[in-house]
Amino acid sequence: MNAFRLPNGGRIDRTVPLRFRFDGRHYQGFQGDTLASALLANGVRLVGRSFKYHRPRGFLTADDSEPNGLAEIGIGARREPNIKMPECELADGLIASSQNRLGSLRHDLLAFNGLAAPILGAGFYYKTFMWPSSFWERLYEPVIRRAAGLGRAATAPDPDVYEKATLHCDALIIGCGPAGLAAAIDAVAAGARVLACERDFETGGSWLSHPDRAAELADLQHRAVALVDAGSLTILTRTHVLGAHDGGIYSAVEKIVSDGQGPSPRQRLLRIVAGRAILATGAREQPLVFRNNDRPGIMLAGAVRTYIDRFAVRPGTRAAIYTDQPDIALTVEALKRGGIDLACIVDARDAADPPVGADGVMVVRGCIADTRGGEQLKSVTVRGADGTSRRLDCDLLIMAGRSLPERSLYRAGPGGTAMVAVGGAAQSDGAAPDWPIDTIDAKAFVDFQNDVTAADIRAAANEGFSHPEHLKRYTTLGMATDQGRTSSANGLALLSKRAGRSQGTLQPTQARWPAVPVAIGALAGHHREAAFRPLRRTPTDQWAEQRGAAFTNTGLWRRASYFPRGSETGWLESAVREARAVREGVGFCDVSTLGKYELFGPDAGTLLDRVYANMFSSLAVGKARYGIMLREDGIAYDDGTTARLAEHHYVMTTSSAMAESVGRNLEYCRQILWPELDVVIVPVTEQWAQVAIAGPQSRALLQQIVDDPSSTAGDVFPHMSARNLTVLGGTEARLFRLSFSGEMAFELAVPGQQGNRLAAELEALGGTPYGLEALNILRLEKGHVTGAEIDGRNTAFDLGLGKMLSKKKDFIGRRMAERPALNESARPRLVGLRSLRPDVPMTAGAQLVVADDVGRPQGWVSSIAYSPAVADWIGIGLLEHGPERHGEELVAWNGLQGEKVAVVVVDPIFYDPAGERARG
Amino acid sequence: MVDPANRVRIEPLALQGYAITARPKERALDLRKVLEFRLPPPCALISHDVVTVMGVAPSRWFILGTTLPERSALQEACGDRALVSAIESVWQYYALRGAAAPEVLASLVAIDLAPDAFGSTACAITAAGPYDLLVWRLRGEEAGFGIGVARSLSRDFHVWLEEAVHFRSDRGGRRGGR
Repeated sequence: MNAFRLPNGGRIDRTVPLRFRFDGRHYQGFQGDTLASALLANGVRLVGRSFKYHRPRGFLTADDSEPNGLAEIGIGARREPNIKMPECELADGLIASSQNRLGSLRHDLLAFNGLAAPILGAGFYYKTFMWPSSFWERLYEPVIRRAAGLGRAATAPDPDVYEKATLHCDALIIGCGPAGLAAAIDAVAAGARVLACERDFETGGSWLSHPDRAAELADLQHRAVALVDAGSLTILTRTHVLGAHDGGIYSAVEKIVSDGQGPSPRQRLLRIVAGRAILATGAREQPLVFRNNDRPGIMLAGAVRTYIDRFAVRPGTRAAIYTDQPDIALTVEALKRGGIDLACIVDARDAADPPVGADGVMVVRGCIADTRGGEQLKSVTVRGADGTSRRLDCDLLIMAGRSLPERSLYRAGPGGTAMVAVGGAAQSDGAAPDWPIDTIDAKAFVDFQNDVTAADIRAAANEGFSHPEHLKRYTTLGMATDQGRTSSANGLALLSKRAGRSQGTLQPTQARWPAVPVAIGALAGHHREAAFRPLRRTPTDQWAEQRGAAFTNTGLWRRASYFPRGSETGWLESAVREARAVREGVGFCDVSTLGKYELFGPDAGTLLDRVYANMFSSLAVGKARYGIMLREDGIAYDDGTTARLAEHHYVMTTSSAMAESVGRNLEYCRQILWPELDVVIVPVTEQWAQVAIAGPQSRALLQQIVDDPSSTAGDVFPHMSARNLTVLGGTEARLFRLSFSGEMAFELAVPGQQGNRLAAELEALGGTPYGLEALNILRLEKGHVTGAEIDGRNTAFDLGLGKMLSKKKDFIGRRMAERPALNESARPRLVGLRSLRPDVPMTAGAQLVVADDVGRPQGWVSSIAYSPAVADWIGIGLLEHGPERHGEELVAWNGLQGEKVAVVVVDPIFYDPAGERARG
Repeated sequence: MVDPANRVRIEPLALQGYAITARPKERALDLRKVLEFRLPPPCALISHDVVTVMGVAPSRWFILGTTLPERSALQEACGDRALVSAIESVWQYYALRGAAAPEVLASLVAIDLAPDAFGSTACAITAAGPYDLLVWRLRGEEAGFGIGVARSLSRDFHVWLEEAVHFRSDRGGRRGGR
């Protein structure tokens, strides 16, 4: 039933009915309606409860500045709160519900808050609930949050998807009302690439509810659409510009599907790069402030015109107009078209002539003193200039106040001032309002959404909060989702009066980005789940996946953790088997995640000498060397091996974790610290699939895939050698003889695309694949350090690598590393640890304490593993005076789990301390 | 229904590639004897038959193509003035084609893809969320782009790209106001 729908007129399509639900009841609207217009057409006036006092509220506006008509749209995971109903495009099946109530909208149990209004004014919260302090979190805050607030956010994950996009244009037109459309057409004619954004679902702005301008609007729209069809103009409707940023960048959000409806993506966050922006956002009408000015049925004049002429809805049956403007003809004419009886015009101005358009209507000079009504306005009390009062029955009170340019985007970011305003947005700020500005009534609402009253403004001024920013924070004026679009100007006017300042001297508060609320999903855009944190896959990932590997994520990399076999019951069993295979035969492991950089040029060795603590310029061609880097403060930074492939050509490897950091640091050194060095750095991590082939049978396996087996013979390719060669029948490769496992080992690098093939070949030829778990066992048995030990706290001295620090050259961190404090034997230094309880592991991260003295940890366990070579759990860690305490018994204390494991301090090298196996 | 001509397609490109990185004082590297054309400045590309050469940074170029000279030949031509390194495994390459391809790409990267701003001789290394991308306009195609993404990230990127294409395919091409 559309009891308040006009039989003719409007821009709705009566041939397309749309069914929707509000608070559980079914209604019908038409294509072209908003939720607000459809509810009004169905006679629904009470649409919300106020924020603090739970007063009944109806629609004040017909646009995105609506402070009262907020609803939750959608249900379940798609429920979105605080949608302004006047800008919610009606869609078939839309489900909406009112918010901020306990019980039904008509019988809100929290309405008793209104009775306490005299003591709930501004500042109440700051001065109350102070005692006892423990009650704040347990009682006060939960109760206040329940009693005051907005809608409920969905608690389930948002099922919709969103995206982001960047658009470029010469001219960005913000607003597609008549001024915006004209500006867009002119800009296109001038040869500009133009993007126009309109928050509404239809272009036309104020002329959409201006029958006299219908023909002109149609012409403008026709010309604009022709330009769109020609590809010269892009118009984005349902698009809010959110802010103006540095460098001609603007943000906007485009609603692609209606609220709570349909397929994805739901919204798109736009980053607009514009040569110039034109602000065509029009002007906003301001309410008048008087006692009980917030009842359902009290509306702005522009809203009334919009509901009548755009949506063919009668917002009331008998109206009064309260104005401080000289011309109300448009509104009076609209009321006639809507068949609404105009009972009276109340003219607040001190002017001799009645306002234009008042002909034939009773005009009272004075003001509205009060209103009556509950769910619906019933009457107003008019106080004449002569002091007489009379009550007037009406169900619609129209506030025809001043219109102010909508320029909040000017204040919504550093780029705002670069915009050029046109149309209503370009008009002057105007004079002070003419309604009785000395009102101090506690029921005269200034900020409808936050329930800020004239009395609150007075209280703030009396407290000394006479700056607009202070006023905002003390009273919450303008802090609501509308950012004060219908309240800031009136608040400033009242404050000016109270503070004795002349009108216009107080500036509005800083507008905040985003100018309108934005779904969190739109801010995230693509960046969710895998796209938020994509995985890097190694060159053998596909093979490992087919092989049934168990994976683990290390940083961004997905790496094979172990390769289970049918009868194995857990990771440890698989890892131990893989480690044994390396010790007894041959295994291979993907180490492609190591950072790889090529350094090329006559000064490559010099650069390496400066970034590494040990010498590299003296490295022979065809040789590789382990190196350690320090930070400028002398702390160990990263380690790795570097090979010299030619006189001016080195290949550096870094740890996986520090690959990007080291790369950036190398470029910083080359470009900023030593630009005179003749060297270039080429990152090649992605290019190479690098596989460690380790074990006593590693050479035999290797020689089955290299094209020239003799090139890998022990006498021509000894430990710490490097060379280019070909494998697998002509594939370019690099071979390094390095060992991280303690066994004779090689690292073979082939182009990444060949990684899966290489792994498959190695396994087919008898190699045992091993993953990170076995890699960790093998390196711990040898006492090799990794990121768990080079953790940003330890020096090379602490890690037993002090002898690598060259005395013959300068390098980054040298001076600081020489500080006595970094070379004291008392520092935590690397030790090996063995559990004294068979088969009971210590915990990595556990503190090392003497007996039960947990109050004074003397070190920590950095890494642990079960060692098949030792046949027990082993670990390494850092311990004060560590190397001097071998044989001492300590406790590895895991305070988080309350575990204590007795350990003995030992040498960190558990396996082949002489290193004979690695040298082959 | 979407006009099939508007439908955006993702096609893998099988390209060989080299990076040429010149030493700091060797920016005027001349490889015309091997490549038959000069090296372009940064952010520009030159296409010649099956070879595309892109200036990706000062003193750094990518050479992509289905058939390329031997790396050793290029290295020999460069001598000790530049390092020639293989990059065919560094990047995974895709072609993005279809009328709405610019819109799809605009949802990923921030660069201006208008033909007069990013024309047939333009290329860029840019960021798309967590991905570094190599982007260029395919030769002779107004709505065709080449995209390179790090091989290790290519699987997740491809999923992302398909989703972006799917969004646009639902909606067809250009948007207008009502």
